[in-house]
Amino acid sequence: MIQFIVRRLIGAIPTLFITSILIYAILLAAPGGPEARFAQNPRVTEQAREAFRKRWGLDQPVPIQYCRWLGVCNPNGEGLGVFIGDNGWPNFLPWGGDNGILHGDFGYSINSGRPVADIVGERVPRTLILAGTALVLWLLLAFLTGVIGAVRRYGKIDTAITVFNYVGFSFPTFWLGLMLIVVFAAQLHLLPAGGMWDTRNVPVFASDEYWAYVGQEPIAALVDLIRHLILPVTTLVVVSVAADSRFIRAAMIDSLSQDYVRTARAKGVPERRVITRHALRNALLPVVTNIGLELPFLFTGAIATETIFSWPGMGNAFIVATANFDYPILMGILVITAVIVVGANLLADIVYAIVDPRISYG
Amino acid sequence: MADTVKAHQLATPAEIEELNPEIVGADYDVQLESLSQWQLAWRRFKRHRMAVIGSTLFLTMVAIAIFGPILVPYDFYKAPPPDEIVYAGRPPSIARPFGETGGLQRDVFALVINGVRWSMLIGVLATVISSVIGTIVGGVAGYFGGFLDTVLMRIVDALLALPLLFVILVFTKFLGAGNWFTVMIIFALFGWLGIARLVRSVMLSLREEDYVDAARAAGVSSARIIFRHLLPNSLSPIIVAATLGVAGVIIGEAFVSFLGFGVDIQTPTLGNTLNGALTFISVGNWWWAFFPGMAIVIIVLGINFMGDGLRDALDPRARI
Repeated sequence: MIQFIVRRLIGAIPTLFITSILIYAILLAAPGGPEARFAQNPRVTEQAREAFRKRWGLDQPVPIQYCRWLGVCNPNGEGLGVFIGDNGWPNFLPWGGDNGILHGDFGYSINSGRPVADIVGERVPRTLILAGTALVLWLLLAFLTGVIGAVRRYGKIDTAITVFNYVGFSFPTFWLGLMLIVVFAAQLHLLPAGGMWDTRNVPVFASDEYWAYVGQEPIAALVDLIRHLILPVTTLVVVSVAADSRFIRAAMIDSLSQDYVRTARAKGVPERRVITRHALRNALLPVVTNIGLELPFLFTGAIATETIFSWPGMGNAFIVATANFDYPILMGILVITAVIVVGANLLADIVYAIVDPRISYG
Repeated sequence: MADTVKAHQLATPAEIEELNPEIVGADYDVQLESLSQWQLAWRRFKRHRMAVIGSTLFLTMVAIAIFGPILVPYDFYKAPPPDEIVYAGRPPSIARPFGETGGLQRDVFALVINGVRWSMLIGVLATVISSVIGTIVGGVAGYFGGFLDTVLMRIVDALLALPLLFVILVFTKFLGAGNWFTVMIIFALFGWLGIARLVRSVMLSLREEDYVDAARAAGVSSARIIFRHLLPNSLSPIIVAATLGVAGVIIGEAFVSFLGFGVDIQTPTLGNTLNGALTFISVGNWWWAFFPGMAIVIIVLGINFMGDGLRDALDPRARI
């Protein structure tokens, strides 16, 4: 088992390596760049530009630049010494150097000058709150509708669930969000149209003032957060529940037709128990893997929803950075999400191997 | 008139007579009919209620995309005289069933009709190109295996580790330059990954089949085995995936254009129409955003129903 996990971990390294090259190449091909902000400025002399390029290593050949960005090369090294860190260890080791994405150094935002890691670190919890709430709710709903649909297969309820699933699945997320805003915010004035907190009387989320406010008025703070969550979460749930619901329904239908279910029924086990204990437990197997593959959604899936509801999370940061040509943020977010996607695939594989005794991981 | 019994490749009349002498001279004819794979699939498809509804929806939208703009032309340069302009536009009426936009007072109906054409064009073209790329890459990887397979699949894995919508956003913003053709190509270049994986897995199982061994033993060339034996047999999953892929591209393009990163506003795709509507929602102009969005929903719903029907119909193990 340990061997299997280690082998899968090592197998992920080349994938991530190619991904990092792709990310670097994509943004190298894009127009603009670190120097673009000086292009129109007559006060920045050619010498100053030269010094800027030298300071940030832009005068180096592209492979060296990539190697430094990755954190394998030491910017202070010469010749083959670039691979050796300042303290004599190979630079890519965690204690060898301190530059590059391998050491958690994603550079600085071109627009705000803040470290990318800080910006992403601030955004992740917000996206987790939105996407996490939505994920939990739609999984609950998917289990409910999936199991009912399978048990009452081709009945009226099943047909209704199927139609709802198909329609929900066909909504463009951003348009559904827009329509919810039109109805519930613009026309009925029931819920806020966007944002994560009421800027008039609630401080910035997760700031010191915010926690002080939560300490004083915990209920008001929670109500404010929930009011802002309702519309975006509804959007995500309606669009996303279908795939899981259909998946669980198919897995349940499959497991309800197995011999052990017939045996349980023949033994006189109550139907409710047959469904929950015998059929559902076995149907969980493929479902768990599927959920594992959905985990990256927690970080990236809400991009359209975040944009529509101006939820200040990762997706929103990505859109703003794209509009502003802010490469370090784009690269940082892409690298982090790629690591999360590969990690989630790995996790799904490993969990599947643990849960399913039939899998041999030789 | 005698009843007609249709049997599929069951037996010749002589054989039936021999098996069951009692039906000789019975009051009905036995009509024999052998059906090809595609005829069988068509029969299964016709019985699939949702598939029929879905393809009706989809074909209606295709008809609108082809003929609509001829009947309801849309002129970007036609502006109303200034004294007729109402800032928030006019709600749906009998003369203008989908209402008029705010600002330049455009007919939303004409915008939707023309938007359907552009969105469909981009969706279908991008999917056709990406299906071809995916089939070639997946076919080569699956058929030849070995080192080539490892390299190609590593690249696919690496690309799939990226959130593709993010990458497409970066590309359309930085390289798209607002040209619908470039945007379409960008969607095509990132849409082939799923199909490549699918074709590869189908190829891996098909190349172990006896008829492939037989062909190889007979000295048939690799190219002929791939194009005559393997591809026709792996066509069904490709068709299903490509059908559903059109829906993905249409939604993706709408989102990218809606953000203002996609096709330039001189091309009235559905996403661009929605982008324009954003400013006017706060003044109560809901019809501008509602109808283009509904057009997307109807196209996508039709495609999803149709894709599911095709999946069932093209499954050779399914019985009619």
